[in-house]
Amino acid sequence: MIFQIILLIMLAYVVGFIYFGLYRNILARIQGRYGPTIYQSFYDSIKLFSKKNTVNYGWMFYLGPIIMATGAVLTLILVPVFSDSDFLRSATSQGNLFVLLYLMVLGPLGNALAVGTGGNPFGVMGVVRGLTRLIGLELPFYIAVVGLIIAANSSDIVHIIDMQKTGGLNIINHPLLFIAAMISMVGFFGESPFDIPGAPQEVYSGPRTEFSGKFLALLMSQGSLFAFAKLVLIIDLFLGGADSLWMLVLKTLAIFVTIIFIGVVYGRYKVEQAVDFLMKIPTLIALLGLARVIWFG
Amino acid sequence: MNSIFLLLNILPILFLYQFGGDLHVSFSLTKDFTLSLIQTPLGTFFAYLSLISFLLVTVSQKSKKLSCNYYALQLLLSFAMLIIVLAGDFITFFIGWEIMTWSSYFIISKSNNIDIKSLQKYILFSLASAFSLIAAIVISYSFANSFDFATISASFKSMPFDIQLTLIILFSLSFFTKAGVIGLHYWVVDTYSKAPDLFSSILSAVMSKMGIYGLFLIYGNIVGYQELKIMFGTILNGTDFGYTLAWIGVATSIIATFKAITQDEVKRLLAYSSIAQLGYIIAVIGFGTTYGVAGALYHTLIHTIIKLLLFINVAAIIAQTGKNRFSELGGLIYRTPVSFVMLLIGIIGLAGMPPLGGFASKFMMYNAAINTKFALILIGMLFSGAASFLYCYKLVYGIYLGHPTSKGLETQKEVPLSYLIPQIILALLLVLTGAFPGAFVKVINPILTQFSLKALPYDGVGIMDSAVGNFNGLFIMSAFVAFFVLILLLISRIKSKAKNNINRFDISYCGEVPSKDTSLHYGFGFGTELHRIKFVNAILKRSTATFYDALALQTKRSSELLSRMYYGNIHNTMIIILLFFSALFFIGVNS
Amino acid sequence: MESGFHGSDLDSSLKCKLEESGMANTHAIMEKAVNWFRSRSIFVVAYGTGCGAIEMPPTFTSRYDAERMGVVGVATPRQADLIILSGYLAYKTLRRVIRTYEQMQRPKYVITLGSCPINGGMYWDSYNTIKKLDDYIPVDVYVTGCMPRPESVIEGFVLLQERIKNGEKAGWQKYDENLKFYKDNQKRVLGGHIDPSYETDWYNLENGGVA
Ligand code: SF4
Repeated sequence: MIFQIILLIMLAYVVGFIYFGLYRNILARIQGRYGPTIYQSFYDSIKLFSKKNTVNYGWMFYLGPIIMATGAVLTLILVPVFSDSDFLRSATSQGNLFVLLYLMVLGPLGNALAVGTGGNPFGVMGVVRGLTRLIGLELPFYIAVVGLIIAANSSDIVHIIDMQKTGGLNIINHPLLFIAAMISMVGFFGESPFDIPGAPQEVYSGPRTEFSGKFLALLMSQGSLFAFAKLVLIIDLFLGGADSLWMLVLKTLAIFVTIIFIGVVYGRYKVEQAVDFLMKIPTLIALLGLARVIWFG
Repeated sequence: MNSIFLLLNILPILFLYQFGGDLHVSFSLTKDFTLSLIQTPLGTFFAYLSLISFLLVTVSQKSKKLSCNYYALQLLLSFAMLIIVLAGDFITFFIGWEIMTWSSYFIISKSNNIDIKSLQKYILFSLASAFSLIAAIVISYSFANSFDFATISASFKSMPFDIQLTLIILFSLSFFTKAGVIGLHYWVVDTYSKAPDLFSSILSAVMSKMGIYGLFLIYGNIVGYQELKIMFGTILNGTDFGYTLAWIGVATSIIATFKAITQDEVKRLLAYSSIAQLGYIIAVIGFGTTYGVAGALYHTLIHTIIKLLLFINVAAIIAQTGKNRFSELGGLIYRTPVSFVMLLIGIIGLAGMPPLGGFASKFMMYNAAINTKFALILIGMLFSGAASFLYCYKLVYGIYLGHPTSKGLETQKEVPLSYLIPQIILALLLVLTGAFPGAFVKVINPILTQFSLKALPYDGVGIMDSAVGNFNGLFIMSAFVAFFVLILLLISRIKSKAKNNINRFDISYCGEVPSKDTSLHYGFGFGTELHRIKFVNAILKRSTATFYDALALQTKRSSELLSRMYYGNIHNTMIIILLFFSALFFIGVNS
Repeated sequence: MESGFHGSDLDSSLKCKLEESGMANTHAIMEKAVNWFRSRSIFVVAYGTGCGAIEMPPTFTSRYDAERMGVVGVATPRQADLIILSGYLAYKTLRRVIRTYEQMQRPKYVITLGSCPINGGMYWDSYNTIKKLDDYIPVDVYVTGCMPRPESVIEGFVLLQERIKNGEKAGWQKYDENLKFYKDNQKRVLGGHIDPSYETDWYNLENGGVA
């Protein structure tokens, strides 16, 4: 199992960084630029890890990014990556969807403690924005997830994947839930119009303001792991998982590119606008989908 | 003084441990009027819960110079709660209930910052609770001719439906008031925040649970979950009754969560959070399914642990600094590191995060909602959980993180050991329940049998198992610790030197240098921006205070009207009273 | 007392250890690789002083696209490797610039735009601007012109990247070594109104200058 975990983390690390490079390239092309090389995020991370010194505000500040990375790794190993093989099944069967929903917030909350210790008001401003945004962001996502759970009558992800093998993909069976979940995902990926917490030009760079050197590098690395885990979770829930590496890359890439395309064309909401919006249209869409699940199976 | 009462607090625990199991005493006052104590699995669970809580709070009271009266009253309160949970009939129950009300009233009145208004609120609501309780008891006596739980339960089925409904509503109202359901929570916040700091932990952790015990007693024992199903019919996979109650619980939890976020006083925040958490319990208590009851019981346990921990922690900080507002505290993390870690464990539990026990109980409740297909209830609970992260962060940020906002905080010492010991025990309990969520199943199963529900499956201490999903607490905990240590080692090996930055003013601040006068403690005020969100503002700007204040005003006016009758001449007043009663008498005779 | 916290100290001690164990070669290769990565990824905090600030947006956006060379803007000095000072500096600005510079993490570089930071330019006789920026903080690359076009700014980036790649001695090392020189100069123009520097106690430089 340990070997598989290491393999998975390496895979997620590489894929996550390449996706992030791709993201920067796509963004550049849309803006009429060439953009950096696809490995740019990898260079950034190595450079940050090799900075000569790093500012530290005490032990809680030191531990914050580590808690965040732990949360990301734990999320990663609890999401089933391949639908048919029993790759890491012994680990993924130990958790369920609720564990994942909470683990996804555990990391950022741990990091928020470090931000608070750093004492920079801009950082805390970013955290508060993030937590306030979360109120709106989680609602459509929760409704979508609950809809799937009720439809499958289980919070076990493997079971939800298996359901889709016989009953057809969830994206076709429950398109409304998928749309709602994707709108939330745009926010979970920190894309416009929901990129409120770390908004540069407004609050420095939000929660990351005081992090430098290896801490920033760790935050970036865990970000790519976490992004991969979130993508895999979405394809597990709605696209029936992936049965081979190629399918995995293809499906996650499709979701990722969709999210980018939504993200690049919008400006930024204010936090209250974002929550208001999320509580109206996506929530309504999700509730319609949920009603369909409850009354029509 | 403290050690004597500590011993006195240990005694009932030992007694229960030694002679408990099948305790059954009764002594008759008159022929058909007996007081009885019967030990049920449910009662035993609540008895241990309250007794151990009292013990821990007494430990933490060591460094406070408290009078003998205070301890005696507290002991009386503990005794009253023991009577309530062990009572076998309603008279004993009611005696316990009254002693609890009065003894707690006197303790609260001993607080330094209590005002007459809050005291009045407390006693009025307690009386209202007691009146509706006694009304329900009298009604049930008139049908069953007995105060005995078993007899009333047996004759309940033969009562007419409207009487059944009235009874359930009256009992529920009484216990809802104690638990602080929204609408009836008017007294809770003031009382919790103004009671003696350590006593607040008892109020929130134990006394509110007596309301929960009462609800279990009525729904599970007296009426019976099966009977409830027959009475009210079913919706989706659950009962109508459970669904209604669940909405009350979820509304309570959502509203109280948002209210909690906007509080500035530390203990008011905790009070609202307590209301919100009890909302969860009330949401699932009426389901009448295995998971519903198990979830409610599990969350009762977890909430007791968390609220004891948090209130003791906050009480210690208030005692140490003399400040009780977020806007006056801050930056204590490196002054009182142990306290910080304890509070941190507490809020991770409160937020229901996976490695700790808070998650196990929430998972049980979510399972209950999936089982009955109450999707909206589940969403409501998840939503209020997501919003609760905000007040959890505010709690830890406002006190420990950020910058100190008033003088003396920078030279603060760690709180006394007597405060820390109970906190460490409670934090350990939280960690243990997180790693071994299955262990508690063995405690729950006898209670489930008592309610004639199916027992929970048991797959080992580490695993929490249910029909709709399971998780391995031990695996998640150990994986978390393992990865944490691994990443920590990796990061500390990287040669990029982490320079310890001791000066808190060395932050990137747009090239400026903040000084002592710059206000840098940003987060204590958060919650204000919630007013700009329409949906949340709709909740925040409403308050039950307007209703109750109007009620108080009307009562005052009508009593003023009445008092006009006394215009100084005693004879005339007497004559009017005499006339009134004779009129009543005639009406009575004629009908 | 150990003075400051020069990254080079750490390196040299490591080098000694590696040399003992006959691994100096590996270390040199590692160093080269790391330098290459450093040169490929430069985070910029663009400090808009003077007229040249207007040249920064075209440099970073669609027209000239500095990101294709790995040069990206960041918001805070904590994350930055490079600070661009785009013109003349008033004394008031200098104070903030020094503070920003000191908050950046080593290795760090400075690029200036225009002739004003070199010798005062057209402000050569102004009462409130500094004349030679290099006296106060070490400049790595001057991009000349009044004001320079984005092409020349990019040329400056390329020059800096070359230097980083070759592992040449950079400004921040000079700053750490000649702290007294720089601090004395700063003290002279800023007078009594000096911001506290949390890295070095430069009032007591004689005693090693550790804060
Ligand atoms: S060099 Fe020319 S353009 Fe640049 S700041 Fe000086 S005067 Fe302005």
